[in-house]
Amino acid sequence: MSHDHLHDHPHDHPHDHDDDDGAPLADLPPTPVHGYWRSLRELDGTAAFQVNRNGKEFPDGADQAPKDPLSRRNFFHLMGASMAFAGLGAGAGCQRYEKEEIVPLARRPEDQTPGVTQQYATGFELGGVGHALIATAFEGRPIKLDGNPEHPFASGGVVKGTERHAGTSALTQAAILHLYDPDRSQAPTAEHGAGSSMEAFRAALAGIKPTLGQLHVLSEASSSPTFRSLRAKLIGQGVTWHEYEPLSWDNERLGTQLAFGRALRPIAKLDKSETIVALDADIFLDHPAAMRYSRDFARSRRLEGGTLGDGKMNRLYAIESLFTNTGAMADHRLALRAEHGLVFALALAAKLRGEPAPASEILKEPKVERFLAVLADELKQNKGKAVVIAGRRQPPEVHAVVAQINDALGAPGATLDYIEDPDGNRPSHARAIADLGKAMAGGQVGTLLILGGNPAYDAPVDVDFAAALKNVKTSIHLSEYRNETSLLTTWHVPRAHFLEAWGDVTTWDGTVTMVQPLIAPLYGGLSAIELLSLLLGTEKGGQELVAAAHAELGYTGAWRQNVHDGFVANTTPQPVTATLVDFKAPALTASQQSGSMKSNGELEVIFHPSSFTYDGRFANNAWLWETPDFMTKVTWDNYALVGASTAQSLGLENDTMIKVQVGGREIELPCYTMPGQAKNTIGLVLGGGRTAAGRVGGTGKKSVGWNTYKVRTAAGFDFAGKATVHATGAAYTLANIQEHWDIRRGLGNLPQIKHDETHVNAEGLAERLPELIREQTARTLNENRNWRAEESEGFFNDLDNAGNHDRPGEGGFSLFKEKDYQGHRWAMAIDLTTCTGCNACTVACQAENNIPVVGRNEVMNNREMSWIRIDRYFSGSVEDPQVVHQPVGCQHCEQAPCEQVCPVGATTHSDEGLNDMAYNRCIGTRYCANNCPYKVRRFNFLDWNKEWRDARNKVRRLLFNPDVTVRMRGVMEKCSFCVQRIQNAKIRAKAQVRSGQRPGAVNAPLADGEVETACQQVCPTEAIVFGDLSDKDSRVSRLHEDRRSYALLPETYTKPRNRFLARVRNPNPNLVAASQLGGHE
Amino acid sequence: MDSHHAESGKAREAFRAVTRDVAWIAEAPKPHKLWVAVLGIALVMFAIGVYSIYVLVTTGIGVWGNSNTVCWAWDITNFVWWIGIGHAGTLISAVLYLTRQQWRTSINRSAEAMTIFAVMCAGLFPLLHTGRPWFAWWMIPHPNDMQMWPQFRSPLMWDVFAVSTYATTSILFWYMGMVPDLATFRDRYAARGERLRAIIYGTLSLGWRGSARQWHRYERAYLILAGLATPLVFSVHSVVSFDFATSQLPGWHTTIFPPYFVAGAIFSGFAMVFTLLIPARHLFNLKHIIKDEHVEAACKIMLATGMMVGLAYGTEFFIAWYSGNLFEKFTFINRAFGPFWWSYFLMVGCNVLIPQFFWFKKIRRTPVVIFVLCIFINIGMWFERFVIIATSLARSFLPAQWSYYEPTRYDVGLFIGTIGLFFTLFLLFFRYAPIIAISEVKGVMPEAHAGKKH
Repeated sequence: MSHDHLHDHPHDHPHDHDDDDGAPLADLPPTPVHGYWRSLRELDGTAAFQVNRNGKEFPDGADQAPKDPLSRRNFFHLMGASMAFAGLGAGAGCQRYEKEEIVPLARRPEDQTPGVTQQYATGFELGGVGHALIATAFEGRPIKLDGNPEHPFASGGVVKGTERHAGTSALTQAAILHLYDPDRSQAPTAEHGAGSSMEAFRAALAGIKPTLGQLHVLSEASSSPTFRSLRAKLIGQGVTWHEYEPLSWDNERLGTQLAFGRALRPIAKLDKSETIVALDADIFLDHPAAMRYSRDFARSRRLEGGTLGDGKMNRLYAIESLFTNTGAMADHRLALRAEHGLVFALALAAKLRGEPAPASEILKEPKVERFLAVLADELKQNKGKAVVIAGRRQPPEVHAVVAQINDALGAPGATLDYIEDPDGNRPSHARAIADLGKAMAGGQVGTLLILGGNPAYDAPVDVDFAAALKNVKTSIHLSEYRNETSLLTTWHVPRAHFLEAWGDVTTWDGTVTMVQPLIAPLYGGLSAIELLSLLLGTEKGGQELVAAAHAELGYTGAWRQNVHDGFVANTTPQPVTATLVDFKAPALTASQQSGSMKSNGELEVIFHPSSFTYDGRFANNAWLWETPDFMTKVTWDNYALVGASTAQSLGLENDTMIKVQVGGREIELPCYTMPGQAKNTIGLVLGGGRTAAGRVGGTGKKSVGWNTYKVRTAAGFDFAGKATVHATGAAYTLANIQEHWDIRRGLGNLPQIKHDETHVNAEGLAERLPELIREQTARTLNENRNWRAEESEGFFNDLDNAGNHDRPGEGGFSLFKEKDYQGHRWAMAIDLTTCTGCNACTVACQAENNIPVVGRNEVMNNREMSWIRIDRYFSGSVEDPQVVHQPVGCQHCEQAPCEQVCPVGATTHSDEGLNDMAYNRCIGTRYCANNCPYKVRRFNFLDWNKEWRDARNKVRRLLFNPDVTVRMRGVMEKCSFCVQRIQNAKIRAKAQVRSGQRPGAVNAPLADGEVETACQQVCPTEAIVFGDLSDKDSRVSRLHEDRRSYALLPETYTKPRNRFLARVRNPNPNLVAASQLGGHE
Repeated sequence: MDSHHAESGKAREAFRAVTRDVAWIAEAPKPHKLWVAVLGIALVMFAIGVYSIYVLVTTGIGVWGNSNTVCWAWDITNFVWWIGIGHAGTLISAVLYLTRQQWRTSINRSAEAMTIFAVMCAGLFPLLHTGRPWFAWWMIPHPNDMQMWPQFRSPLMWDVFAVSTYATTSILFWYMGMVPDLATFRDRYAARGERLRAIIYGTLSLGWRGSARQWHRYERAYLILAGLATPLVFSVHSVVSFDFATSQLPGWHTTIFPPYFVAGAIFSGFAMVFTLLIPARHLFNLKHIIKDEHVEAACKIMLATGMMVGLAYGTEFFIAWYSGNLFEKFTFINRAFGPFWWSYFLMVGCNVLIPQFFWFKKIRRTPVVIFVLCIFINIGMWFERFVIIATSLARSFLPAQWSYYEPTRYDVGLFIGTIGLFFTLFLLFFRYAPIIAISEVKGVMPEAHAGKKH
């Protein structure tokens, strides 16, 4: 490995975070009282839910593992093992490493201490929305991304009692994996794939320059001021510009144009909102401000210590078509077809004004009628304290009506700000690509430059971009990967990863955020602004370009300060006063006027972003593919989501292959039956079926998932009606991590017994889940000060305070001598009230702890490796269920059952109460995992890291966190409470004391907040708190004392150091669903 | 006097007949065709096992069906099954010896051999089920510079000692008991002029001359070893059951396990002994030594232990209900009616219902039927361990981690391999060793007590 580029830092300043802290329902089986269930298979005991594994004897992939040929490398590997057998002692604990040359540094690079990580502020853009980040680098290679807690939008200022905190999404966490992706494009190609060089490309560009007037540019959305400044210059020279994103928030912008006569961007202030209405909006995952919204929502969600004051918490109403995490967090959720969003918005607006509601059958359905009435009442009472947010999918008219509602509620200024949209006059993305497609097909485009994106894959199908591209003489695609589009263009140019190039972005609130590279481009590659600058004939480096643009735009603040902070101070636009203009909503269509009952052929197809690939761009990201979807818990696939009752009436079940026909087009894909989804809707998850994503996401022959873009048109960009669905008769098993082998194939297909099987499961669940997931309403908590979560449920409460390690001498008993802790006692608290189930912790943990990916087959074999998983449980009825997400990692039991059974002492307790794993001592009996009641231990069944030894994948190894051992096969692993971060914090503190930077003794305990675990740092809602129980004032101590805190499975007397805080719901007493009272309608 | 002479002559002839009837198996110049055929099958099975082990060790535990939820499955099931089978040997040798059950002499040698071979098969599993078997020796306490010491709170450590003690004692017991008979073989080969065999058996017989003093010491030592081995009958499987009983997993965490496992072990051990001996005594004409009443006595033991096991099944269910512990309750309902219901009913059918046939004397006297029933018991006892291990793990505390288990070809391959190994060793033993304790049989023959009439 060459060290040259690793020490060549293009960045300016290390970030000194260290110092300043861094259909017919009747057929469904009855729901058990207070019933919980994991899946429909469980709830529905009929023989219908049977997996067809095509008669295969063994589970898919179970027998595929050893198929690797005996390569030379494997041979030596085996030889190594046999030598270990022969020599025994000689092989113990050590492995033979390949010979490699290292070049020691003659002089240490400035600002670098070997072995100490450095933090740099940078930024990341997704779909034209910037996110402020802090990147962690180890000896010049970035290894981790986190939110920038000093950024004004990311952190949102300090609220009393909470640390500065900036969460990130799972997608952002995984973005770093692409930097080291060996499948990234490494050199330009010319003439449809012929290898070429950067020099040749530059020469070709020089040829284009004189004819800029004929150049069309199709760009991804970009919020970069530098990019925009270059774009303006190019447009000035006659370039025609088009912008396209397959997932866009255009509707909101166009809606404000309808409502206000100008394009504005609403930004809700959820920390000040008492009533929040999400109208087909997934505000926690699928919103440009999702991270900010999540945190603000969580802050006003806390009954005690929240932003609304003690005893008050916000109330969330979700009206949505598919079941999203926002629906899962909602106190009240109403499932409506997407097309009924307009009806609902109009009806709500009318109710608030006291006008008659529009004529639609849907409003006469009792559930909708009641929901609407109660919601309108609450909004009327909560004027100035309520906000309505409409989602990306809803048409502009809905956004306009929502703007009117917000105005009527007095939201602007109180719970909602409007800022100028920086790109107000742009046509919508769907429109732009359609227009460009027409021009290309008509031969009006001579030269096309495509900046990023993948229109050949994700453009609306009726645009037929791939065919239109054939009419373009010269086409250039700048892209990180040689994707579907690159294969069709004449030129392909590798694009630099955002950690490799200078740039800037703006966050959703308009704050200009710096993008600082941490490493020189691994494979060469240009950034978009560098390419644009080449077109303009000014061959400037990225840094120069950004600096020049910032000077031009008159940004204040010293460059070095901006780069250090990660943002340009005082660039956040001020809120504007928005005045409504006259807007009349269009008349309702016949379909909108009818109710929810539809026949096959009138189904609504709804396009849904993928939790794995977003719009398809992350398709080569194995971390994301293996992180289960938020709601379905499926990995490594996309699918069609079908509402449970709809599925039943159509005769569909999980894993059925279905054919979806819409607008004369059709697609086949497997089906996942989702409880609670609006009747007669089909959710098509985007982003699968890539044919040129890379070795992970799919190549020509083998792709992951199914390409749902094949039925997405420009007109039906968000949702489309008149769809038909049929089962094809085939089955395809989705790799679901939570429903491994629910139904067994083979020996006994006796329907009677089968029914009992699922019935047994359902009963077992219903009985135990109230104990595992403790819930209470805000009202009860306010009225009954003595309510304690740990006494609320469970059948072993006579064990009194079992599991309360804070209260020695009070109840509890152990066969073993209990440890007497001096010094730190690390502990964690996870708040189920604010956990949105966003998966960020899972991916952050994967990045921090070098957790391997096992692949679809091994997930189906139940061998996924996540150290912190999010268990998802349904409760209530199939049509109107509630969902709880519960993150479960190692509970770090003080009386750890795993430790008692390890024959070689590979897992032991530390003096600070951590349950440690010594990987090199583990012989892999797996007894510990059997004895773990929480099932959090993960075994390396195979050599998951084998492929990184392959020469062409070696670059991936640069991503490994050097502070965490990469585990070999045959050893057990699990959450370590980020012990490496604890040790680093201690070392740092000691060094600071010794150098006089910090007062106190060398061995003084760390202060609260000095150590953050990876999952805590990333959590957008601050639901995870880590700290020291010895410090009685630490946040974790206070949370452990909270009346909502409870230990999982206290009757096992494991005394977990992680405690959960009970899920608090805040239902409107006038609209309490029967399920919330423990019964059902 | 004459009559006495005649009587003693008749007795001598009877004794000779025993020696001859046992020794001819080894002395026959060509082995029985069936023996060759079965050995061939056993060797093929063993080869499958060797290949499975090769793939397992070079690829990882991932070649099995085990998962993060069901961390143990066929591996430990097979281990416990084989250990259980090994139990009959010690029981027959030691306990029945101490309780003066003379009928044991006909079967004790082969039962002991079976014990040793079963323990060898069993021992493979704890070794191979580890993720890094090349480090399994870390479980042995030994001075080292790695600051390693086993963790003695772990029942797996107790297993290491229990099983190795058991294996050592069984081998000693078996071998020591064989010494006079090996000397008999030596003498017979020497008389026939087969020097090589005479030297081999002579070496193995440790200079046995059959003097009164040697017999005296032999009897003493045998008694002492029997005394030492007796607690092992109860301790080994109790310790093995601790693997489960001391854990906190519902379905494992049960105080009933030690007696329940011991009863089950004896039950399965007897079933395996007669699975082997019923065809063997037919094949090698040993019906006058391994008599029908011996088989009948064993049937009674199987009936008794089978009912003990049945009682344990019932008790588990009762306690699960009586405890009020919902996890415990669910585990047992799930066992019988959950996704593994078929294995539960196979277990109950084979272990509780099948032995009920032994109430009938006619069945107890019909070797073919007994043989078939013994096979069922072997299957049932395998499923007992599978039910305990896999179904409990697949549905433990947190439903989000519930799972199912299905074996792969390598799970099956290794199991087949151990069966192959077992039969290979047993067939070799049958061909080359005194398969019946000649001296002991003679000691309990009526002729040996002729003098007592006076």
